[in-house]
Amino acid sequence: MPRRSMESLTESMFYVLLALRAGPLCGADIADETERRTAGRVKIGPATLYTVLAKFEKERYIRETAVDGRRRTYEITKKGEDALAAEIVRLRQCVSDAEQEARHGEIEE
Amino acid sequence: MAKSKNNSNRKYIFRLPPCPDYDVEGTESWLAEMAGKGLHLRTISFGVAAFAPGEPKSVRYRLMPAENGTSLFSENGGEPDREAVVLGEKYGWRYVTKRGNFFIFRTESPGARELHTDPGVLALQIRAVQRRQFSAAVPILFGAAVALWGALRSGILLTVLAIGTGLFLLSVVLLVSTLALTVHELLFLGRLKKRLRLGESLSHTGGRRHPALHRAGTVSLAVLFAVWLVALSRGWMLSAADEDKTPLAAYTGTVPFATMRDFAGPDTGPSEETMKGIAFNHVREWSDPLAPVNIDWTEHRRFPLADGTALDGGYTVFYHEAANEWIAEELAAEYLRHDRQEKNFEPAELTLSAKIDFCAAYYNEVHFPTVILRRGNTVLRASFYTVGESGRSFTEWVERLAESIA
Repeated sequence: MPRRSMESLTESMFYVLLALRAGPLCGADIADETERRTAGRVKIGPATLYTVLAKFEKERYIRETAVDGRRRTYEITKKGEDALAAEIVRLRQCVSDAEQEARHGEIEE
Repeated sequence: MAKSKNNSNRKYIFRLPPCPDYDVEGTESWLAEMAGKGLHLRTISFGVAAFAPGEPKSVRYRLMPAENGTSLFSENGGEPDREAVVLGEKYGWRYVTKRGNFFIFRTESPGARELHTDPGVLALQIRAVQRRQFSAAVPILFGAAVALWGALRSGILLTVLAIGTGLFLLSVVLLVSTLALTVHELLFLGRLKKRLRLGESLSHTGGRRHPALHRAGTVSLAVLFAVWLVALSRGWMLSAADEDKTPLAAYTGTVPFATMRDFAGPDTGPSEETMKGIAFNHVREWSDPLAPVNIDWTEHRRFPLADGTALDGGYTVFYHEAANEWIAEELAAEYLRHDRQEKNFEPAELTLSAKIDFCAAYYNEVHFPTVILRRGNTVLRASFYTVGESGRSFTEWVERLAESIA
């Protein structure tokens, strides 16, 4: 879910969708998967994770698939996959623009 | 507030927070400082924090915006969602209590990751709280606008006299304070949201700009609210039980204006009430800074006359001795303005010989002859109707009434 309609996802939001793209996960596993995938660079706090999951569920980017005691499992929806894909395209464009500048020697890599 | 160096024998120690509930950084830093002194937050109720005494510890407290509210009528009964609590516990955070629109979590583990790791996401939560606060303010504004419209229609001074100057002013102070605090909260959260959107993280050690002022304001508002509630309840109970009225049969005082007995004349016999009940035969007297003497007089009586007929009718007087002539003028104008708005209002022409500064005569909405008289600081509004043949003409009884206050 963008912060506002048509806006980009934050880093936490991006990695939550990315983690769910691989398959259904519960909340805590999403945070652990993100930490593993980014080699510890991105650690999602519990309040941030809860908020992102709640908003994604409200926006139908994800859906709850199971509740097992205290664990709720989510999977990504088609709408969520589309939002993730759009964000990847945007980020690729950002990187491409930066690499062009670097080739012209204006930014040191 | 109790302050004790030896806290270990007390079950709870109570403190007033030094900042508003929406001052996230102020609240977090204060709670951490208290933990460093051995006071650990247990609960916050009615704005007072209860701490359990213990060993000084390095504790982090963090506030989480309650997007669905914290009242009992909110989703989840005003408590955080179970999943939020479970996720917090997995990473070393325990839910403690709530304050305002925020849930409070704590951790004693220095290695526990922060509760919020994405300022942009926290900004979204703050925005949800802002929206809810704005929605909560709308009914208050609407209610205030309706009350103001009603007061203007009835007359501001008449409304103040009916409620009482003290209670009216207190109501205005509380209303304005509530709106001002809401506006301040919205602006404060707006600035916080802006900082978060720019990627700035909270400091957790700042805030609390004016602790003494905040505490004094909190106590003052609480006291004013309690006084207002007691005054309002007392006034309502007195009015509902008619305890603010005296039955005319039991009244032993005298009133400074002519009554039906005066209209009937000196040769009248004992009168009888024609309509039973305190609503139809009573006197209510009260004092107010705007008008030190106020009398609400209502009688429905039958006076036998010497010629065998009877003066039978109903008579209502609202009498005020205002604090000054300007207030008396305005009261007279408000009475007239109010009655002019009613259907069937019909002006009447009267010529009086009594010395009166203002006279307005008319037939009111139920076609009762009505007059507003003012002399100096004294103003009254009287309606008098009669049944049967031995009535008094409009001019007759108004002249008698005017003489009584001239």
